[in-house]
Amino acid sequence: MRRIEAVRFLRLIRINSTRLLRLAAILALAGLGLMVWSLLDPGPIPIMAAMSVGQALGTLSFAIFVVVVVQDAWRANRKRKDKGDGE
Amino acid sequence: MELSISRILVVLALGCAAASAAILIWYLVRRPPLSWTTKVALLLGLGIFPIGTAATGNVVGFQHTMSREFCSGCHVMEPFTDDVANPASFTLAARHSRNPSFGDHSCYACHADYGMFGAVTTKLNGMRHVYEYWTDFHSLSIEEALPRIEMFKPYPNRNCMQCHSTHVPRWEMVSEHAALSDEVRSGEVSCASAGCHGPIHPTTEGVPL
Repeated sequence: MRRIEAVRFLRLIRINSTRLLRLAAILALAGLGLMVWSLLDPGPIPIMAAMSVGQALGTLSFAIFVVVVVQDAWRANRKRKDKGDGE
Repeated sequence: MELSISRILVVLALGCAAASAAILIWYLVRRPPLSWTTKVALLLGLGIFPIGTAATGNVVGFQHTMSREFCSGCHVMEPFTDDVANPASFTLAARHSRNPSFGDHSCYACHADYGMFGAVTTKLNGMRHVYEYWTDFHSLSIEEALPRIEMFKPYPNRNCMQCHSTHVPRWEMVSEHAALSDEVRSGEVSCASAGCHGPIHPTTEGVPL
């Protein structure tokens, strides 16, 4: 059951991998914006925003990237295996 | 322009952010296929460069949170920070702040918790201050806020004892010190008590400033 759910999740990611990467890029840009704000205007609010929201957005965007790349590698590996079985 | 480590880190952080933003904007505009090159570019744009920005930004941010300028970012702290920056003031806080060892970091030097996890507990208490400020003090005028400002816990003598060890002959020669040495060292009697070395910051009829 868990395996089926995992496959479904991976399929969902495969369908939307380009869209997910675009989302990751947008999230990273937002996080970078907060970090740059804290560097240029180092007040209590910008620093706290950068260290909490900014870094959370950055971490989330990188996590999305890792998931997409791992899934892509897994898919490529599976394709190669299928090809091997066919031959 | 002074080339301090802090400035170098800011430039480094901004450089990493600019490089990352350039890669991400390129990806969003050009929409390249997910090839090996794209993956490496995104690893730099989503991983390496943002981590560089966050790491250097954290160091700069933590350094800045120790500065007096940061403390005066909340308007209700201005009477205190103005006083310590006043070269004509003779309050204990102002006299300590004129010491180069305290200097621009005088608020943190005196109010930080010491010990192994001192930096962490100081930051946690700082978060509590920010919470109080945004939920309560933010909308008050300085005159309204000052009578309500108080410390979360009594000022610990061990903060004074970071520099004033209480174990030198000149300290023990003071009759009040000699009479109360055990109580002072244990924290039973505060160095900042009125009549001893308090009030540390300026007051008017017992109310801060």
